[in-house]
Amino acid sequence: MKQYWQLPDGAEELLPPEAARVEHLRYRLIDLFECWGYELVSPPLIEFMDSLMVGGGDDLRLSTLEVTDQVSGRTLGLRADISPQVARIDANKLLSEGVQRLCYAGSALLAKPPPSGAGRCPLKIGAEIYGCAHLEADVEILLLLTEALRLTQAPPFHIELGHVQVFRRLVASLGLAAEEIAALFSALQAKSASELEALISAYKVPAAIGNLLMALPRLMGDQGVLARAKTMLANAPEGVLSAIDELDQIAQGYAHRSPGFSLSFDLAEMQGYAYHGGVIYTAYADDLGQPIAFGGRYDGLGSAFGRSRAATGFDSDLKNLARLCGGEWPQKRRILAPWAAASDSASRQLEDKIAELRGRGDSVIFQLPATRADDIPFELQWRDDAWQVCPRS
Amino acid sequence: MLPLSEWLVDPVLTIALNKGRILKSVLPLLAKAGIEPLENLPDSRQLLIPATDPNIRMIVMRSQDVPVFVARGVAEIGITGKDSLLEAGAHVLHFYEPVDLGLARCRLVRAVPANAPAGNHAPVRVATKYERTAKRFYLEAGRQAEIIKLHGAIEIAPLVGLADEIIDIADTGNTLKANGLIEKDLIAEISARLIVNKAALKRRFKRISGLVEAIEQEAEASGKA
Repeated sequence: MKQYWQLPDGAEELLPPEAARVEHLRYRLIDLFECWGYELVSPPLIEFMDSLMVGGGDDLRLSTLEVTDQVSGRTLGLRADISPQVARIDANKLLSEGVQRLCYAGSALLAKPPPSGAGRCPLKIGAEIYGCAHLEADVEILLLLTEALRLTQAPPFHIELGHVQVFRRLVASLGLAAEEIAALFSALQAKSASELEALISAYKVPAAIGNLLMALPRLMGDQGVLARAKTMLANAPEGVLSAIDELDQIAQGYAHRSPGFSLSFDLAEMQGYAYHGGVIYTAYADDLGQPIAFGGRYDGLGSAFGRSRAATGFDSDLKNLARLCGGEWPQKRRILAPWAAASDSASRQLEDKIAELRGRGDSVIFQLPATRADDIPFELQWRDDAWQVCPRS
Repeated sequence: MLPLSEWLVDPVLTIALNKGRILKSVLPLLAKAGIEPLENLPDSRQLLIPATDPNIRMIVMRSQDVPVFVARGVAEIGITGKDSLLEAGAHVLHFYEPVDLGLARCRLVRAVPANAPAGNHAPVRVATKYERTAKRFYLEAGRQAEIIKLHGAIEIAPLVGLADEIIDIADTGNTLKANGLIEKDLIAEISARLIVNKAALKRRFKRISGLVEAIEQEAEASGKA
């Protein structure tokens, strides 16, 4: 037998009731974003590869599946990420001079299944603010992310902040080659003290900077980390302390509006380093080995599309969120209806009744000939000259 | 929503350990850091073992599986050889490698038959357990290589004509010598490393960083070079 049933690795599909859960969550999150003033956009699944790659590093290129466009002969990419498309829309289509808030939900595709075991076809949902370089925009995005995670009734979660300029400014003055910076970056991402030490010595990094790099992996935890960082990094090159100040101000702005829920920090964390230019956000849920949402500042990405704009936002995978989702969505009452009635008058009344019930949001299911429907708990019965919803025995 | 400090109170913490040589040298270190299995691990047939601390359990597995368990978050902490971490591919994105325990030291090397003719740059056949690491090594060396993945007795491959050279672990170098091989390149210094799932460290920062620091201190005390 041919294995026509087989799906490619990592191509997961949603069955009932998960598909309904995901759809319901999508609706509620987009509704939430709209309540905060974010307007929905829906960019296409494919674009010219060059456009999709704007602002992305090698990681994005490797994650993006390429095909040849039979119309233009150019290479198309199936998007692995949606936010660059939204940045393009803001920069090139909407042309608003002021603040533009946009949100989206749609499928993306990863060229290879991720090792985390998550699928290759994430359903990305996200929200972005363009045109505001102030930290208040980051605070707003963090508050919205918090609200969105609350709405999913996910297990306890927390949001961690980092800042890509801490590492960038530290290594900027060293005159290292791109590969050497990449090696330091990987050692830092692994928090591997021994590797970092070996590289610092191999690259003859001056002790003043070397010691600061060695300190970074341990600069993680609650807000107290920022005070520690300010002391430890007091003599760091320009830009490092102002990055930490930014984190401090965001944390204060956030704490002010979201009491009882605190942020944490990791100065060595640089998720999306190639893409982001400032503060970055990562959300973690209890019981899950991988982050559940990412975000950060990516000012200036729009310049490739014609307009440089301040930009910040987050995204998440709806399928992943729905898996964590604790809340139940309103279930429809399922009612079995006969295909036809005994008399013309009963038939007309049956049609009216079915229309009425469906109009109220019930799920009315016809009994087709020679079928059973044992899993449907209610049915329409003709009693006292009217159709009535009765529990099935 | 509870504040961070309140929900950081814990469920059970799982430590993935690899069986064999590393396990024997790591257990005394863990014991000093207060982590002791309730059963005699190297002899136990049980694979999921509770520790004297009821909030800790241990899983014993093959070395290359440790990064998988930790990357997927089913074990929060793992201890395995650097060789397995080099082979872990994209899994490395999901764990930290904060501590070099300095135990079970050895080297990952490229070795060739002692009587091999001085090489030109012709494509080479390489026998190894370490497919990814080998591919990376030859790529960086600018040399075309056919990697032949084996699961053991790597040293024999050149002798019987299966491969031109090997990439494998060498400790004293005696096994290489006994099979007529000489070491050509040092690819990596190998030792036992402690790894931690990234998300777990963030979610249960105090608990896990406390444990990691305790283990690190014991490793340093027991004479890490």
